[in-house]
Amino acid sequence: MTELLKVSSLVTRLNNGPRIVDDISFSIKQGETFALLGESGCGKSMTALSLMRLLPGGIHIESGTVQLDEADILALPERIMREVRGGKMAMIFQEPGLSLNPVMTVGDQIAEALELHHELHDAAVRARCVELLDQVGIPDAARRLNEYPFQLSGGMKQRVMIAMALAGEPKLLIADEPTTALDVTIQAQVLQLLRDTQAQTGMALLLITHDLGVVSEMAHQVAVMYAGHIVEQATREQLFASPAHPYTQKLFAALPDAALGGQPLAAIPGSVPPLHDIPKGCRFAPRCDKAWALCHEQAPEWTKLAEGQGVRCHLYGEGRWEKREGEAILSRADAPPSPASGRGAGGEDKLLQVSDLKVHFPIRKGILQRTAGHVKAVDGLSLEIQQGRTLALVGESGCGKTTVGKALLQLIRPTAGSVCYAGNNLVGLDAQQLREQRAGMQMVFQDPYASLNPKMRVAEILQEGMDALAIGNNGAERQRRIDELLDQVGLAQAAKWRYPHEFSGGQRQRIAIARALAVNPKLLICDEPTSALDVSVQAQILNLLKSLQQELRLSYLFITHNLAVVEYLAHEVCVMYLGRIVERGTAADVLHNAQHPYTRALLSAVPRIDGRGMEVIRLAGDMPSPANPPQGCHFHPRCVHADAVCRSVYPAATNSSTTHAVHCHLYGGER
Amino acid sequence: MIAYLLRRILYAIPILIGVNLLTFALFFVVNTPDDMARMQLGIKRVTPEAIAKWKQQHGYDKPLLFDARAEGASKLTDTIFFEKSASMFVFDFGYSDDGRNIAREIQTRMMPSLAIALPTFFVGLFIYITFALLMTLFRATALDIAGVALCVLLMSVSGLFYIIGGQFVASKLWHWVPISGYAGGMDSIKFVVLPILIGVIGSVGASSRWYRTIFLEEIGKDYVRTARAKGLSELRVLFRHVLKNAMIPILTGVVVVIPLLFMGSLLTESFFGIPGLGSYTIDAINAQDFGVVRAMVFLGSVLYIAGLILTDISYTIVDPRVRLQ
Repeated sequence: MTELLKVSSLVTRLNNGPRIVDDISFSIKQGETFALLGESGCGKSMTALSLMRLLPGGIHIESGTVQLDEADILALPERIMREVRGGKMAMIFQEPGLSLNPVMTVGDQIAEALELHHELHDAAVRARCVELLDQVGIPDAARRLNEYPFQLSGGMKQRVMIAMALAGEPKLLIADEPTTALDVTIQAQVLQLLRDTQAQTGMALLLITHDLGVVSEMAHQVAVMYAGHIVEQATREQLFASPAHPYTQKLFAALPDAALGGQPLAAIPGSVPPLHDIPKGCRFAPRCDKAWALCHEQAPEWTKLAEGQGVRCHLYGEGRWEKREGEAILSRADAPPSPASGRGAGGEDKLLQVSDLKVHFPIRKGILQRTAGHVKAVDGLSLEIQQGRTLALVGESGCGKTTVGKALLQLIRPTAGSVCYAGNNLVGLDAQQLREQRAGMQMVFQDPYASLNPKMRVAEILQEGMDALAIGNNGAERQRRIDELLDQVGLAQAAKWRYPHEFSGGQRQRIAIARALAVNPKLLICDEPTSALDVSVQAQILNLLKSLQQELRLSYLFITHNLAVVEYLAHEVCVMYLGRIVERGTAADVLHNAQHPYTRALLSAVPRIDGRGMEVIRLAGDMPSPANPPQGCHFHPRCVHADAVCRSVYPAATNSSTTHAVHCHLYGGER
Repeated sequence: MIAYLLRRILYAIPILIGVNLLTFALFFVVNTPDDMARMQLGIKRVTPEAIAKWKQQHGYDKPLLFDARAEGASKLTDTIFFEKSASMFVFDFGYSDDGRNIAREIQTRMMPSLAIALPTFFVGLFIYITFALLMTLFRATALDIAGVALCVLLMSVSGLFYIIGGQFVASKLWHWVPISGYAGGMDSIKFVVLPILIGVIGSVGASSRWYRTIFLEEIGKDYVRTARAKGLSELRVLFRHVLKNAMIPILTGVVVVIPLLFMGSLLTESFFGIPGLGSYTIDAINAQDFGVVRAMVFLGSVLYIAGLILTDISYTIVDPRVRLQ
């Protein structure tokens, strides 16, 4: 195979500022998938945009060469470059919802790309558009052409983006986090589509991702980026068998499903250094537990380890002899074992008992705004959480799991049902009575960037809740408590005089946790607390939550779509689909002996790093609207096992053991 | 959509009653019917009898809002407020204090107002958007900076300066057009050219700068990057993608004023001696003619509400995501 793209010594920098992409070289062969792996802020996207010459204002390419098909991309005049963009080289982006023009029909947007790169008549353009939409698996393509992006689901939009990219018949497709914004089942569909398209057209794929699972499923070659450098490059097999750079090793160890038997995750301390403050020596040295003096002094050179594998690390370079002997390369087993096993630490008292919770939002219509129907966001949900234990509520976006969290706290008033916290029913309490109960239950939100008031100092954020609920007798006592809280979540006490924007994402989430803990709650509702964070930082937060649970006997309701996190943290698991729980049981029940076809599909869709990935059970279509759920079992339109009973009757719970229950006709008496 | 529009029209009724009450209250807090009579009759030779007679002739001898002496429903209807305001809901504006039919007056004065307001609006909009697009296309270059500086300069100068300066230069020095006045038919052109020109120049700074901000915000969005990644040229990106998306915020500010163009401009019409609705309103305020003032305020409110409804409808045209219901 010939080399299609050859990048050598590419440097991209802020005008008069630091280098964002620093001396990067790699090449991609025809028909090959090359993955660029790294955390946010390490320069992956900027590398891609440099190749397309689409860098935002204030950033420019300083030096290096990019050759695509023998043509020197960086030397082309802009007019010729426009033919390359969308022609030989196309790109798709992370947020399909934002990346399509909201006020142009899907057909017009694809046609625009076609007209630029081919000379076609109007009728031929339309026919080709239909063909492209067919190719990316959009049903009823001719009708979809006249629809607008907002009428399509997230997965559909990403398919349209791919169709648009394919319009110019590119030789290289750059996919920048193409599935990060999508649910796992939809992610599986889109990854499969990319593989199929590649097999059909023989194009090369530059895949940018932070997800080792996606790399494992897709890539032939992998480059790991850190703070603007490529720190390791290898074939997929080499990288997964023997990761060489300490950073790569840590990335593997930080995955939540990598932890064995209740051990804490091997988190990487700190976070990716900001651009203006890049360390002098090796850029990873401040976070590396194998670093020694040389690492802090001198940047390591590129060292070739084997055919196809190279690394930028002193451990493998000339300087390695200086390092004290007897220090082996860290492996997963080196992570210190935790003092007590996390699982089964709970008691028997039911802290929270929810029965038949319903949250319905009215749909209003007509001149007088009569209620014409309901969106049944949560429809008859029951669960209980015991003291000191973790219940994970798992589901894809739109299934109502966040609404559950808010309804438990009475931030949204439930339509029906009861929420008993420590024996008191919270539903129907007035504002004053609710305030008395507020201290018991607190919430940690998904996005630490948006959930802390940017105009308040950390101390004020922590103290506000204590003041409101009269925790602590006087100011001095509260100040002492603030110090204690910061200590508990692993922040320095000096942090309390600073503002949220001065902290990184992981540190902000620590502040959010401290804020929740300030009023001594017994139950924390964590709504996707790590999904906005990088893998290495996610591990820090998960470890923190776990040790806090052991220390304070906290209970968690953990709302998430990430099954790997569930495996690490949860004792019990409930799987939600369209406002109802379809399967519940202990973590072992649900994750290792899943019964509901939806749970199984969900589990199989998660990309695994160890290649033991199950055959992906592909779900057709998207989750239906909760305003108009299907008759019978909600899942039947997407279920391969569905039959007449499923289409007419909602299945009752079937118990397969004392802890494990499932709502599915496969296990009931009806079949 | 129809149901939505009907509902919006129903909402308008309480708003208009409120506006009427407020105008009424404000006017009569400042003026009493006695003051109005004195103003009309002349301050010097006025007798109490003459005042009482004027009030009775013009219907200002009744209580303002509530007639305690009357019976039943006429406690409310036999008042100045009801008699002067209720008829407005069927667009019967009555007579001004000097005895003219207000509706007829509005009809004849509408044309001169529109002759200035409409061209100012459309020529202005075209120039502002073009200027803003140019600055966006050449963003972060010397041209853009010079454009913004010019905008700020134009914004900082008082509107009165443009009027007086324009009249001085164009009429007094160069004798292009008459300083002020108006004539019907084709003759009107020479009278309206200068006010239109000055109207456009007067707001080019503020509008273009604002539109430029909107365009720049749009141009940073992800779909624009997608469009560039397709290989579109910067001009096509700007015209095919950015312009239509930017029209959504621009329409919010623009469509709402279209019906209000009927009301004319207070300042311009007064300075150029245009017999339009703007100068009509100013004169009525100076003469304390409540009949005309409340008619113009009422008309203004109706047109403003119409403008808001038009804005909503225009959204559905430029933004397929908007459905009125």
